[in-house]
Amino acid sequence: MGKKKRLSPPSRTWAVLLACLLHGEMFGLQLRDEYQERTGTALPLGTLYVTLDRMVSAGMLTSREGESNPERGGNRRRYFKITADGIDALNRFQQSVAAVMPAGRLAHGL
Amino acid sequence: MDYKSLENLVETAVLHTFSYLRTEKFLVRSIRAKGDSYEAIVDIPMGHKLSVAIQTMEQWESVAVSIWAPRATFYKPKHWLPRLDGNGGWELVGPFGFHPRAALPKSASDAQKRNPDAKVDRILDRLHLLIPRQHREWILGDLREDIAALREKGKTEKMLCRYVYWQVLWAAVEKLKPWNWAAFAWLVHKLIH
Repeated sequence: MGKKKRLSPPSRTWAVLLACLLHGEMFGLQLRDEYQERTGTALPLGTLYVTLDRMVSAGMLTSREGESNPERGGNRRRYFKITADGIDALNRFQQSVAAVMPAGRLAHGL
Repeated sequence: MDYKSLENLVETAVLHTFSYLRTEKFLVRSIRAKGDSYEAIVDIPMGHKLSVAIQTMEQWESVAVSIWAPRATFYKPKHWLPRLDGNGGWELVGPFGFHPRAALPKSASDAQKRNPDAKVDRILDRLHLLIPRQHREWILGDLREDIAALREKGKTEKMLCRYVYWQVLWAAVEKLKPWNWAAFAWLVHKLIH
């Protein structure tokens, strides 16, 4: 028997991170800034890397080690890229949101 | 720099360092090249050996001489900036209690850049082990890059230190999941001391 695939929709954090990566690969700091810009909430780097590791384990992302520079104190960057499974997961998230939300703009007094 | 000149320089530096002993009984035992600097071993009357480092400093077209005495002698390290006195001898500037390379940066902007760096770097050096090992390289690199960007935006040193503390602490908290009280106590201990 093959490994059971995660078919439930991803959490909001996962979905935002996947959406950030739709335009190409990014490293941790870029992802953190993009996440903050889209959601208005800060994501500590410690939490970010733990989350990204889980997403890599789930097969939604792939990662590669990048270059280092003196500004980083000789430490390398780690780039993340979305996979086909990641795009599927993002679609599932979109469908799950659409399924529970009524169509059209909501107004007060409903 | 030839051997005679080096020997002369070492003798002058040692004499200046130990001038209060009123003795000239020093013996330069050996001088050997070590990269772009030299290391000399000098016998001093008390039966101890001194290690003398002569470092070339191209940016000032000069050299720096540092003397480390053995711990047993209780002498603090001394650093000298020597220059030729025109009569074939050496004139020494100093002594400095710290290394002149650190004391005399190339420019004021260099000093401004280095000094604030040191405090944040010290925090990172002290606390980097709190970051989970599998993410340490990426997080440390991102933090340093972020600090450089924040500094350019004009954030104060205090804000940067607070930011680094917060990021490292959060990374450590992530490491502690699922909650382990012994590890939590260790974390608190590391933060206090």
